[in-house]
Amino acid sequence: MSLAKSSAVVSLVRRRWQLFVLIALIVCFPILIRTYFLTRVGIVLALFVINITGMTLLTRYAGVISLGHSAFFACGAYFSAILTAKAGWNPWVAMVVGAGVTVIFAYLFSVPFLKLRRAYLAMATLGLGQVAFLLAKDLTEVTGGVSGIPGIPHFSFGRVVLREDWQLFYLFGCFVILFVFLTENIGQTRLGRAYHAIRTNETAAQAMGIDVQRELGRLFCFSALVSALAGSMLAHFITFISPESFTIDFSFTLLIIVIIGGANIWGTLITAVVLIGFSEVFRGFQDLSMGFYGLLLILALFAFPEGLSAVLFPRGYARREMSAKDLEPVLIDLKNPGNLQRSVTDMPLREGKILELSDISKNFGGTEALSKVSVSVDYNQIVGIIGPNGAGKTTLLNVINGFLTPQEGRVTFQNRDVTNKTPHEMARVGLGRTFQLINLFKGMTVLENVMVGGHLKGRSGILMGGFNLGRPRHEEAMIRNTAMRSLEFLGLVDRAYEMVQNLSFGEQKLVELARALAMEPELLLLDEPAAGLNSAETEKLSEILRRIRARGITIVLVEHNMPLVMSLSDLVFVLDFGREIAFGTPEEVSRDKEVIRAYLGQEG
Amino acid sequence: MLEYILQFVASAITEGCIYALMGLGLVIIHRSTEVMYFAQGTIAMIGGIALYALSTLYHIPPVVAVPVGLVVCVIFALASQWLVVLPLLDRGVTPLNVSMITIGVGMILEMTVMMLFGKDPLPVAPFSGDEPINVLGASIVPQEFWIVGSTVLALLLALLFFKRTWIGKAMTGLGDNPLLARASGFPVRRMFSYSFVFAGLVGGLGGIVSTPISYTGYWIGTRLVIKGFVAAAIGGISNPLGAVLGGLIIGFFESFTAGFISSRLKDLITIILLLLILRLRPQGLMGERQ
Amino acid sequence: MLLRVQKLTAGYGNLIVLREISFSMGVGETLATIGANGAGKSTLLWALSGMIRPKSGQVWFEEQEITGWDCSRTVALGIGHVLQGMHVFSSLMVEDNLILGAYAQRSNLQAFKERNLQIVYKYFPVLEKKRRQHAGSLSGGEKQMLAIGRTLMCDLKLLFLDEPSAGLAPLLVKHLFEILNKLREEFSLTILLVEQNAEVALRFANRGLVLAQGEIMLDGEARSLINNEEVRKIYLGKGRRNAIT
Repeated sequence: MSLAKSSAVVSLVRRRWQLFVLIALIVCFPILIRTYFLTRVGIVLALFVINITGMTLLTRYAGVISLGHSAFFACGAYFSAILTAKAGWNPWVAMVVGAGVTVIFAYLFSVPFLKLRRAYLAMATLGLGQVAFLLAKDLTEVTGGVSGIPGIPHFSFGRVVLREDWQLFYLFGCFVILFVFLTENIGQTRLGRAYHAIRTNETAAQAMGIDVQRELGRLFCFSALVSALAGSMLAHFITFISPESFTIDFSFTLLIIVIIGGANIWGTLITAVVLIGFSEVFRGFQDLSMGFYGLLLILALFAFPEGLSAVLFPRGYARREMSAKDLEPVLIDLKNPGNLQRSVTDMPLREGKILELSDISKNFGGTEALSKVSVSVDYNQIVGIIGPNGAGKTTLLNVINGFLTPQEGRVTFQNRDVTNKTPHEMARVGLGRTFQLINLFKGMTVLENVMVGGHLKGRSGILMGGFNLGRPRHEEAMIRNTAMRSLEFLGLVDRAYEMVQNLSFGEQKLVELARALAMEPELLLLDEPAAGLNSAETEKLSEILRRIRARGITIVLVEHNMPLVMSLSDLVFVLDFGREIAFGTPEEVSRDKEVIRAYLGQEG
Repeated sequence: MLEYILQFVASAITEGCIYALMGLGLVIIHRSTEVMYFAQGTIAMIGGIALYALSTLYHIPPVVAVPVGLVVCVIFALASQWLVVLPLLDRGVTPLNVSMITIGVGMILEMTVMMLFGKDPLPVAPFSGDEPINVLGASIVPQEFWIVGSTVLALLLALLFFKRTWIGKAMTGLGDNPLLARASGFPVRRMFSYSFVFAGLVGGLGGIVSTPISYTGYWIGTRLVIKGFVAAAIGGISNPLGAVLGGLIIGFFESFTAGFISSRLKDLITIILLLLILRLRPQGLMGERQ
Repeated sequence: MLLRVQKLTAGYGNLIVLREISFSMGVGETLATIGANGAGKSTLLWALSGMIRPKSGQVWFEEQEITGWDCSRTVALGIGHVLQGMHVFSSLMVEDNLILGAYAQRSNLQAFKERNLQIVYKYFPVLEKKRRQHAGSLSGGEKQMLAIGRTLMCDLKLLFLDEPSAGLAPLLVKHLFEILNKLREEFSLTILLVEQNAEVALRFANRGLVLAQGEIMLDGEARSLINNEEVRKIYLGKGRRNAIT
């Protein structure tokens, strides 16, 4: 028994060695460094690192550039200061309240602004940071204006007042460890993949069921919370705050650290240590630090555009690699039928119509793309959609998928009206999708890409996912299991740990298919699945699609590859100028005069 | 009362001109490269510093110092383009990230200026004395006329350039339909350079003519670029005229806020304007819906 | 041979769209490239005119190798590319749009303008009528004429037309092709035409090239490809590779 336990511990330490090194460093630091000055540097560093954890997820994973996190830092600091120095509250309570208020502000900001395009959002956060600074400077009655707020009490545990630097270092160090731990866990599991997906390909992310607005909103609030807590800590450390600490330079510094540091927390941590450490130690050059950071930023981007993390951990450390041995215990556990979700391999056959479109019309500012299109698809059919260029085929797929809403008409899916549903809601009801050009998530492995397809199998939020105990682990195992089965189905298991951008074009197309299958969809929408494939690959695709149908999944595909569509489809639907011109078996359609005219021009 | 209003109008127009010039440079670069050139404010600051060096330190008259200062600004703008912006774009870095990096460029230049010229505000003599002139009761310093006059001249020249010269028309076309510009055989990369030259001239001018009034120092770049950026956002990130309009709007809001409400709140008002525009009409007053 | 293309392979990123395409064109010839969408027709024009770089293969124009040459150089040689979709510079005047068509020869802009502007106006009188209007206000057909007229400004020798009939009413298409016919006769224009409307294209051209999945399926006289059963099969999925008909 103890042997099994100790080997489990060993494997844990091996996998999380960075975290243990960090803990060891934090524990030893004040003991080894007995100078007052360096311990102070350590404290400042700790506060930056806490901020960085939230920013790493927000900016490097999810791609949201925030130039205004100084606002949240300031908010936490000022609330702590005002509530304790002026109203005599307990510092711990003040910290919690300050963090809570900051999250509310962050939420209020995110609702109107998070839906803007990235560039505009960045501008808005710039404005936010400026507003916070100006308010701090000008609301003198509340914030003390330029003079700030002095006399902030220290934290205390019972009767022990934490005023020694080493005490504060350990206290803040605990928070550092906590947030690094949370960030690492989030980054490596379901939500981390979802953020990465949102950054690299928001459209595909939505099609996989990720509610982009909601996830970004929550992440934004989380990062605001983290910054606010750090702000409170700053207040109770220096016992005095002024607007000086909350300028745009602070936000830029965070951003620069995150950009140079790269996609995972350890890279950004090291970058923070180097940058902040040097600038604190060489205080005489304080004023030069911003220019120095700017220079480093530019050099770093030339030397390693993907960030320091990519250099230190070239195989994309950000996602922890699992060996087959790590996988086994989980698989065995899931062979227990009670835990098994419905698998790709066996679905009951059903009768009736899975998808019905009635009188769909869609126009774009005057140009009519679809005009009273009606079509229905039975369960377990393969329906091909063909038509000349500009006929409206992709528009039709986008209407079904929820990316577009028709002006007229109704879309019914499994007897439910889904006309106005958004893409992620459609994913939820069982619609899978692949795209015409590869819409995979670059920078993740094949397995991770396919696991995004299983996003909807989990429900854990940021905090639950951060602590990674119990339900999140179970969900993660299930998602991985389904993804592996999907890869197995397509013969891609041996490519599971490759970075997806290193695969050949044909293999990437299959990965996209695997990702859609991992959603365990009822209906698969395929947009030109054979585009760019050579004849051997097309043959293989044809066989795969037949096998998918044999598992009970309905397929609707748009294609230009006529041999494929005609040989594969049960029924073919032909669009021209947004109207239906034929709907029948491949034989019927290929002889239809209207179809021939549409493709080849007038007869005679 | 009338004098007060006129005073505010005068300062509104003066400030507005500077912001308009900043915003204009930003829009021109953005139209061709999609990069938001955050170093624009620093270029303006360099113009002011150059003027300080030439005029105050070496007693060179403005007639010579101003053109030389403009040339210096253009050189810096082009250097940043060749060394930083274009290579990064070529490597596939997205325009948004390159925009962030131009912040770094600005910071480096600021640091260099700070090391060379110190941290104190640097004075420059006005071009034609500082006896205020009485206009209908409002008291206006001659330098303000220089500011407005040179801005108007610059805008007219810019208008002539874009509407009357072939290179200007080609650049308009490039901003209008980049795909067609390429297919038509336009020398696209060279045209990127022209937009940086233009931004350098326009930004530099703003920095140079405003220095005698507001002193210069390594820090003024940040403030200027933020205002310029708000001007561009309000007017429409793709529309040069919009940037000018945006600059004037900011000028008016700031001036009247400072005059009638509180001078402390004037920067705040600008930011609130920015947030409102981004929320309600992100493409700006004169931009096209994307 | 005015244009020689040897084993051209081209695509976007990892995606290969054209596979080892080879063909040639003599002066005054009109070659219609037809085929379903995704067959690589537009990509062919893009790879030849310089909008994208080919991944492999060679291209010769007037016996000079121009493989991978950027648009600014090919336009100067007299290769004009009319993009799909009636592109114009909407905010500029019609006449400015036209003159900028010769911008690749800007050192001599005046000379080109004097030489060619009248020719364009002679063949497209509506453009002369609207010469001072903003190009954005033109109708679809007029924009298409403007797009074609632009290419004439640079002493055009080889014209690439990408789906000129797309989005235009049949009568306009007929009219457009009549004008092209006249131009072709007067200036011995060589035209590489990409079209999805096979009928219209094959009636206008001498030769036809049928593309499918990035490869040339058929290469032969245009007349013989009209109402051709093989072509129909290729479009609608049952054809096989064949050399010349």
